[in-house]
Formats: sequence, structure tokens, C-alpha cells
Amino acid sequence: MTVRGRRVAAVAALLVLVPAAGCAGPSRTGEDYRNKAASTAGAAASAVNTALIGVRAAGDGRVTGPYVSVLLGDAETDLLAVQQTFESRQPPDEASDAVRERLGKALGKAADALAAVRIAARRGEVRELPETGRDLPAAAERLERLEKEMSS
Amino acid sequence: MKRLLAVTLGVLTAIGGFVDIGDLVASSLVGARFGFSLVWVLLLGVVGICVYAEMAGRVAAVAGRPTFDLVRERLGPRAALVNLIGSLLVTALTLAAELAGVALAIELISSVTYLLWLPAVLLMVWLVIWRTRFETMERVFGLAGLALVVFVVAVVGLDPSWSGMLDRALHPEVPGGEGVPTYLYYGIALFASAMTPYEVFFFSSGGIEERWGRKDLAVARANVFVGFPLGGLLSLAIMAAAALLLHPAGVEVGNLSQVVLPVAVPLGKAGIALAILGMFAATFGAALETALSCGYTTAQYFGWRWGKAVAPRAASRFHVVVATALVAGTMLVLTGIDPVKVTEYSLVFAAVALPLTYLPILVVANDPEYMGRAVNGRLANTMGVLYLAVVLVAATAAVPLMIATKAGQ
Repeated sequence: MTVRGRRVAAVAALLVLVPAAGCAGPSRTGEDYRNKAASTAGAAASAVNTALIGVRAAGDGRVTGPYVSVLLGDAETDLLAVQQTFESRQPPDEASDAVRERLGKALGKAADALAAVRIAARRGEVRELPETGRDLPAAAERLERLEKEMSS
Repeated sequence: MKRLLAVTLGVLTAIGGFVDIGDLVASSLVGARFGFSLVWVLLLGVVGICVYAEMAGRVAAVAGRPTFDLVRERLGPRAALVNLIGSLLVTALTLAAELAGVALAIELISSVTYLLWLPAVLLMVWLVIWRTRFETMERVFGLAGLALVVFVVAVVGLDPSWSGMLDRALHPEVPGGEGVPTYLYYGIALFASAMTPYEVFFFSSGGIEERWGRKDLAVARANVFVGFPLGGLLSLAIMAAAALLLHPAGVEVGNLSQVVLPVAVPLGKAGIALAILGMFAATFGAALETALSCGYTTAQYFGWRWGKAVAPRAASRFHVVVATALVAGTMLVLTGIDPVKVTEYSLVFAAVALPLTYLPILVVANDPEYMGRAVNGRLANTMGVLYLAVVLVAATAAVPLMIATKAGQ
């Protein structure tokens, strides 16, 4: 290959590899699937904890309506994105089916709790957010527990 | 008195102007994920930008020509073209991230999606570039950016253990559950956020716009040695606030709304208002700087007339490049691409482009033909060479680490 050809090949490889760096890969083994489930649970717990801090601050009258509305909307979008990515993964064996079912339920409950506070915030019910989001602490705890369990 | 005012305003502008979308995102993201363990990288970056911005400012004041102008003359058109293409791509990507940052700041006060604000942001930035005097533009957005001091107040309001914070910053370790490659990947992004290439293009070209001469060296140095470190303090405060509130809660920062959260909890609505004002001003100011930097570097390479001080009719090609960069940046963000991801990628590619920016500055600052007796002294050269080595390591490692860590996942 000429020097020019090598340069073109290097640039082409970079153009393929760099965008691919952020993509989710397939799970070939049960262990790999569990690791990915653990990181999904961690990312989901991050979204729920973000909402939890915002909801508590709203209850204390420390946040504006538009701000908390965007914060909760962003948290819900993040959670739905990791949920969708996880659910699209093929579980490689039967043990992975159980992992999928448990985490799927936890993600579903977290998504419901986040949707409830997002809807309330957009309706201007900022002071009532702690009451509307009463399921958030349990959802966060469940996801954190799953993250620990699946990464051990 | 007038001179003192110029120094004070310059310093204040540098403080406010140092922080941009890259610093906001990288500092908060790193603080939330790694606590205080990457504080040393931020300090390393602030010293580095001081070393090279001082050189670039001195070149502008003594040679009367901006750095990029001299790069082509000194390195030849071919090497300078590679430099131009690399720098232009990174600066244009950074511009896209800054435009998104302005729109996201408006979204936080309006709750209307940032995508709808982008065309208005494009128009506002272009109008300010077209109609406003350079000094006015620099001072208004630099001073408004000082509202980010609210993050320093928030750190105090979060009532931290100061000795514990200092201990964790002085004894950095990779947090449990994080790999060393991920730690290094975010370290490089943070380093690049402090040493973003456009900062020196803008600083040296801005010196020419303000007609710096040898007598203005004190102003230039005060801007660098007081303004940039104090700007670094703002970045440190953003990182510390995130480390205190978001890190213990296991929150990973992926949105600008999360960056404000550590201010909202201790300071309430007034804190949110100031933080959003600071973010708006910092990203708007950086959008102006990056858009102008695209025009500066291209016009200086091709030898076109350039600058805001020149009538637009006389510098039409310069203004066409600026407008094209603005439209391209807006269109990129309008595709719906995640603006925080754009910022992260812009920082990684900025790290790759760092040697292209800083090597020529070191070469020109050592050339007695341009600099006369103001060539680099021993200290400037020692620091310059040391930082060039750091920059080369960062540039070499950035893309492999990005691939190995799946962009820091």
C-alpha cells in the first residue's frame, strides 16, 4: 500500500471507529449480559436520583417551575433511553431471562414514577412534587440494589 | 486611571470568558463521577493555558500580528494548511456545542425545547458579531459570565468538610467501580477543556483588534495571570459543587439541567437565576469567540482582510466564513444530536488538535526576527516544552482511550 493509501485507510478506520465508540455492543455470554444489566441499573438509578434531589428541592420551594420541569423531563428521557437499549438486547441464556425480567420490572416502575413527577411539574404542581414522587426513593433503592447484585 | 480600568476590565473579562460549555460540562461531569480525584488535571490545564496564552499575547503585542498569521510564514503553507483544517474543524465543533449551550440555558428558564431556540440564538450571535464593538461584546459577556461565582457560594452553602476536600484533592485515586482508562479519558477531556485551542486564537487576534503594542504587555499579562486562574477557580467550584452533591448520590451528569442542581439545593431560586445567567453569558460569549476564531484562522491563513474593526464590506470573506460556521454549527445541533455528547467529542478532538495549536506558538515566540528582545526566556521555554510534552501525550492517547472506553461509558 502506498503512503497515500495508508493515510486514506487510517482516516477511514478512524471515521468508522470513533462514532462506533459510543454504541452499545451485543452480549455474547451470560456474564456480559449481567455486566450490561448492572451498568443499565446504575444509569437508571442516576436518573431517578437526579429527579429525587430536584423533587425534594421543589418541596422546599427552592426551584422554579420551568427549571424543575426541564430537569425531570431530562431525567425521564435518560431513563427511557437506557431502558430501551437494555430491552433491545438479546438475553443469551435462561439465567439472563431472569435478569432481564427483574431489571425490566424495576425500570418500568422507575419510569412510571418519573413520568408522574414530570407530568405534575408541567402542570405547575411544583410544591406537591414530593407527594407525587413518593415512589422515587424505593425505585432508586431497587435499582441501586440490582446494580450491586449484578456487578458482584 | 484609564489604564487601570483597562486592566481591571480585562481581568474580569478573562475570568468570565474562561468558562464555556466545555468547562461547564466537563467540570460538572468529572466532579459527579470522580469526586475530587481529577482536581489536579484542572490545575495542570490552567497553568498550561497561562503559559501559552502569555506567549500568544506577547507575540500579538510585540510582532503586531496574530499567531496564525505567523504560522504560515514560519512553517510554510502546507504545514499551516494541516494546522488550519484541524483547528477549524475542532473550533467549528466547539461552536456548535456553544450554540446548543446558549439554547439549553434559555430552555432552563422557559421550559421550551432548546431546538426551537436555536434559530433565534443563531440570529442573536450573528447580530452581535455584526453590530457590536469588540470591546463592548467582550466586556458585556465576560462580566455577565461572572454570575458563575454563584457556584463558589454554592460550595460554601453545601457546608463541606474543607480538610476532607483538600485531602481528597491532594491524594487522588480512581473511585471504586471506575477503570483507569475511563479515569484517564475524562482527565484528558478536562485538560482539553482548560486548554481549548480557540482560546489562544481569540486571545491573540483579540489583542490585534484592540491594537495592543509593547506598552500593553502588562494588560495582556494581567489578563492571563489573574484572569485565567480565577476563571479556573470557577471551573473548580463547578466541579466541587457536583462532587459534594451529585457524587454521593451516584448521579452521572448528562444534561445541563443537572449542572445547576448543586446551586439550586443550597441557594434556591436566586441561585438558579444567577447560574443560568452565568451559563447563558459564558456560552454566548464563547459562541462569539469560536465563530470569530473560525473567521480569524481562515482569513489569516489566506491573507484576507479580517477583524471586527474593519468595515464588513472590506472584510467580506472573513464575515462569510463566520456566518458559514454559525449556520453549519446550528444545522449540526438541529439534527437532534445530543449537545452534551457534541461537547464531549469536541473536547476529545480538541485534545488531538492541541499540538497543532501550541507548537507553532512556541516556535514563533522563540523567533528573534519577529520578537526581538521579547523572545521566550528560560522559564517560558522550560514550561512551554514541558507542556508540549503533556499535550503530545494527551493528543496521542485521546482517540485510543475514546475507543477503548466506548467514549467514557
